[in-house]
Amino acid sequence: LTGLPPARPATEAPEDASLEDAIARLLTLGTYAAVALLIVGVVGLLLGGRSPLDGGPRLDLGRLVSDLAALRPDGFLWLGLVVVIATPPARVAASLVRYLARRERGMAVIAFLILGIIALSIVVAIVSEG
Amino acid sequence: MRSSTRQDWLAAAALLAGLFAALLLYAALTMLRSPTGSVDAGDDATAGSPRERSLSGPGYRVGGLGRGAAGGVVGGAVSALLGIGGGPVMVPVMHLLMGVPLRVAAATSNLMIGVTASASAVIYLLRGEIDPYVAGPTAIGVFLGATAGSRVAHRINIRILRVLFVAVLLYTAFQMSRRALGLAG
Repeated sequence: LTGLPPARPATEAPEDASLEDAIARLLTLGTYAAVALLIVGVVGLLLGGRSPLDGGPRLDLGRLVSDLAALRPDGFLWLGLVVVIATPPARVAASLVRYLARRERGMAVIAFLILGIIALSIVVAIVSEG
Repeated sequence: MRSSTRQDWLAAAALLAGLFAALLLYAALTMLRSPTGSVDAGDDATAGSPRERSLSGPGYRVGGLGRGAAGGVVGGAVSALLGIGGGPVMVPVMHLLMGVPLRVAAATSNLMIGVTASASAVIYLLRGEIDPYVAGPTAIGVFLGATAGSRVAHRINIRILRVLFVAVLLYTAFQMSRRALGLAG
């Protein structure tokens, strides 16, 4: 079909494109790092003779550091999972920066609202658990 | 008192699973009947709000942002409550109600579900309800499947993609029906 407006501006400032490239590279690296951590954790688990069905420990930030320092599989698994969970909000935060740089106010507000809802859900969870 | 509360919760969960099964069945049948979605990608480039026009892509026009937002609330709630991901809701919502092509809807849903799931995953994480021994191997499998799927998605005939998606909807509806009838956990 013709006559439809493009989904995004046809031209892009070079600094915006390089910022996008940097963000995309960072997020891709983060995803691969998370998967690498999970693979190390799972292999360590299996080499240690434990089954994934044994039931793992809760997340404990203090223990996470000591597990990583001691190269224990639990530390790699938890760090990988934390990165997996943190990647989508990081992507939204990166988009917010991009929209602000491009002065796309509407999309920036949407990105900001999404981050706000995630933050609110965390606060509600902490308050209700505390 | 506590036993009665638990029974109430189980009844509500069964009802929710039953309603969701019916919704999935309806979406599957509608997708089979209406291959292009309800919003026609017409030639009138001036139709819709400025925001909707700015969201259109080559060969299609996005509409029904309000319906999409309402569907997003349902998708997010279902994702958090039933743990099935919001894709079975969000892909039909975008495709049938907003006029987004199936491939674009699947890709957009992929992006959105990560954000939706991360909000509820943080809550489950803080409550200690995530088992790292189960989540770790599963996440590796999801990563491998998602990488392979996104690479072959553009090579697969759209009809085959549609049939695959309808099959996934029907299977999920079947599982939800079993849960509603107390035949599955």
